[in-house]
Amino acid sequence: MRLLLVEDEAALRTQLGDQLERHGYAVDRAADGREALYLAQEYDYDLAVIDLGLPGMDGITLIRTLREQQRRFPILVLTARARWQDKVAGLEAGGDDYVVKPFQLEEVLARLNALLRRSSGFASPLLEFGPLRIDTAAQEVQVEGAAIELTAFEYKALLFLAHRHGQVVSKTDLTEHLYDQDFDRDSNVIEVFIGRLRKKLDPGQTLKPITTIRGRGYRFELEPSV
Amino acid sequence: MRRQPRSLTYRLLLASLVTLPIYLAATGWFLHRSFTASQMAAAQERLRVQFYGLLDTFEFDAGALHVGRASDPRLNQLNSGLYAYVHDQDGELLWQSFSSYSLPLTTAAVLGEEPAGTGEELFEQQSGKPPLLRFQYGLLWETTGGDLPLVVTLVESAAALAAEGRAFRGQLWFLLGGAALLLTLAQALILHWGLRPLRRLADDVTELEQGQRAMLSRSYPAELQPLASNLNQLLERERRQRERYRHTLADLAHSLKTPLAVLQQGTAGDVVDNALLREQVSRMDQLINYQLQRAVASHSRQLGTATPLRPVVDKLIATFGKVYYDKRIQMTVEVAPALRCRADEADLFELLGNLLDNACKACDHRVAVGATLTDSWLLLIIDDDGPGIDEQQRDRLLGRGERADSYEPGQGIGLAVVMDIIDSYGAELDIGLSRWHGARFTVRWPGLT
Repeated sequence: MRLLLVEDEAALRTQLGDQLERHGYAVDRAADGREALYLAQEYDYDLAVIDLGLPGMDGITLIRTLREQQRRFPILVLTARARWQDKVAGLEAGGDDYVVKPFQLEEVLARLNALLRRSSGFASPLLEFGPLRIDTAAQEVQVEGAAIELTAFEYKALLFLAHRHGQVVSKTDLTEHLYDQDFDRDSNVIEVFIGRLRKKLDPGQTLKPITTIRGRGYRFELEPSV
Repeated sequence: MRRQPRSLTYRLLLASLVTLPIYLAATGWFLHRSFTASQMAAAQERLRVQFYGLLDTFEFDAGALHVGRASDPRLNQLNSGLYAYVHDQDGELLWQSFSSYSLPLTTAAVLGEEPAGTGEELFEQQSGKPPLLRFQYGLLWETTGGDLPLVVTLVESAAALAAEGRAFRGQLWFLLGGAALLLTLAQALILHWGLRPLRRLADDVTELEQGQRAMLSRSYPAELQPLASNLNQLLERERRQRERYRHTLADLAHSLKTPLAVLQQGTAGDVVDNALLREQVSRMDQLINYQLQRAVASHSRQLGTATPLRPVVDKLIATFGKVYYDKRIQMTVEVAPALRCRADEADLFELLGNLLDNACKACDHRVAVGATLTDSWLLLIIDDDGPGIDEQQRDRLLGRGERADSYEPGQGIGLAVVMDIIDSYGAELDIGLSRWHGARFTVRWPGLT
């Protein structure tokens, strides 16, 4: 998942960015509103974490501008002000949830997870696609009740595809959303990963959760169970 | 540069000094005019009586007019001031009084340009040297030889009249001038007396400034009392604010000492206990949050404008709809759009935000916020369908008089801040049973508009 982190305080930006990367996000960091707006125009983000107290263009204005530019990704608001009036202002501008500084990393991760689910229309942390269950809280995957061991990257790829079930996802999309900016973007690597993921999820080739659309990319075929 | 407005005394005095002379001059003019008019009417009446008296003595003998000894001796005395003439139709002088020999008047001057016709009476004042009053009457005298038209003219010196008028004018202006002086003096006294409370207030404010007094303690006239009360409230509010800041600072410093001591103990050895570190850092964070929120609440009960309730509630509901998205809470708002609450907007956000946050956390899937107006209270009611709060917990939650730094992490800053705002506005909080048998928080807000 590609995430835009906007925070003016260098120490917090580095620390939080690193921790988010360790938890599987491809993180782009911006120190102010202008940089953030530029990045948002260049890349297609799945999520944004925006601090309200930014120099120059403040966070509220940045959020409002992003929304005016039709950027629909979920935004988690970071604020040092714990007053309800300030929180309300952040969410009114277009934020989707808030975390008050100082915060625990677990809190931020849980909120981001929930926002991601919400943006793809899932109400609970448990995503169910027939026999396939993805527990986004515990980061566990089961097929017909049996736990599947996935690497962090495989899990990320599965989640990304599952969130876009029924849609064609190109290899470029996958690399952009799963890798950091400077990562090796050889598309063969993606093919290898998807192949391995297929084998793990569907050893008997009966489920066929991911199909290859020749020349365009991949599609997650399973329908979510209601 | 803006000019300072003129003083009230100056304005009032100027206004009366402009209007008083105009009023007095008009009065004098009217009095003088009516005096002159009545003087003239009296003179005309007097001459008419003279005329009839004279007429009584007329006798005709063989076509010639004989006038007997007149009733008024002045007619027979030179320079007496009263003169009589009788002319015939053609302006021929038939008779003149003995007195008139001293008055060098031509016939034309006596008769006037147009002598009075038969049955006609003329009366006029001639401004000359000396001023004269001329009375003339045209009559038809029946004689054996036919009717004879006559014109009788009485002339009286108007010197006495003029002197009388002068004396009256002198007296009049003297009296009016005196009245003007007295009125101005009275006006000044009234101003001095009437504006005294204002000066006193100004003096008191000066004393306030110099720190010689803490409050405006005297009672003032009804027009000034609201100003004085508001000023007092402002002062009181400022004093309380200052005190609150001092207390908050002291509370904060004290409350941070405990976790700091724990950290000092915990990090004395070589091994750092991360769990302990985390716990104490989070505790310190919560303490700072709590004290910050207490400090920023403006508590502007008395002077604060009334904040419309509905927009605040709507914004909070929208926020909680996002924050508690996963709970799919069904939120009901029963707040009339016209309702206002006498509280600062930030305080209202804080109060309702915390109560609604608690309700959203506690509820199963339903939360309602309502407001009703009673005689002297605005009732804010927040219902949830959660497990409710039992009696013991209610007492603990509503417990007052606790030291601010006795706050324990994890008990929720929210309600402590709510209690703080409620206390500072003189409001009340009750915890009861909601319509769904969950918890109901009722805030009774005073002094609504």
